[in-house]
Amino acid sequence: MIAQSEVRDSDHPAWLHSPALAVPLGFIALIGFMGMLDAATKLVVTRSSSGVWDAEQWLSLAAHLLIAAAAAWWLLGLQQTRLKRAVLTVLLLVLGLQGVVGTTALMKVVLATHTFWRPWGWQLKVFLAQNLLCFAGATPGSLALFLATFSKEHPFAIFSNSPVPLAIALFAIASWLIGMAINKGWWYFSADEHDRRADDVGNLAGWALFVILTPAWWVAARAGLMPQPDAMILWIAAVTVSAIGYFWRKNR
Amino acid sequence: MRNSLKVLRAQRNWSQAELALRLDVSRQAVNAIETGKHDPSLPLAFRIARLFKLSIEEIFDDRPE
Repeated sequence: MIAQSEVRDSDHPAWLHSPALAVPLGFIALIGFMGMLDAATKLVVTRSSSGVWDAEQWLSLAAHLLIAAAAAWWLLGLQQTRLKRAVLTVLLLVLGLQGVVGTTALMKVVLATHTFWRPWGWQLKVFLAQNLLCFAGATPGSLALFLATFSKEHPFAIFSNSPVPLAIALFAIASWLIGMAINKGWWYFSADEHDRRADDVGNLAGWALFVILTPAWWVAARAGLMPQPDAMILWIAAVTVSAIGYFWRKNR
Repeated sequence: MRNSLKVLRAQRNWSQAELALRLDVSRQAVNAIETGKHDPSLPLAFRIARLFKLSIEEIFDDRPE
């Protein structure tokens, strides 16, 4: 019998499995994505679609493209191990640089927000919050592609229970938890009361679905009527119902 | 809750977006209030009243039609 760690480690560089590397990478990636936010904010604040982007924004954009290209590459099943490692190394280096540049960019966002808060008012606050939410989704979304490519089952097994490298998992978890915790709070306190009430309705609907459905599924599984409850299916159902509730209340 | 927000806005030739900017809310929020699908909170009702220099009762009417 092959140990799970053997299966997991066989195709990846050992240094990638270091938790000490993965957690800072999660933070760095999160800060890096703020760089893109900075670019978008500048365009809005200056009301110019032809604003000249400086090096940090191009670097941030390049990192995003690299993530997408790397994920696509793996998904396409190009299996040259040396090339895979080379791209991953470059990707992580770019993310590291992005972290430094992103910190600067974040400071600029704060300054721009304070400077332009009054004339832009609600729009800028919500623009920032909505974009942060998008980035919170984009970070783990990109990582989900990575996880899919590392799956031993099939390329699109994002929600499978197949083993994933520890470093990648910690990277995804850190991005998701930190990103969502910050952004959800920022969005909630930036949104106006109409938007917030729609969010409350959506959250209530999602919570109700989870609380009602889970025990029923659990008892059904014990009676042999259904397979064991799957956390990811319940999560997707709750999120979907929350989104439906939110958009219904907001746009009815 | 019925209200005269749409009339008051039209008298000033404001779009929903302009009114939203003045009230520091979204355009969707203004639309929802105008169509009676969202009852504003007391702080927002006061902001609306102050903006139009009217009392809350002059803008909002909670009596059944």
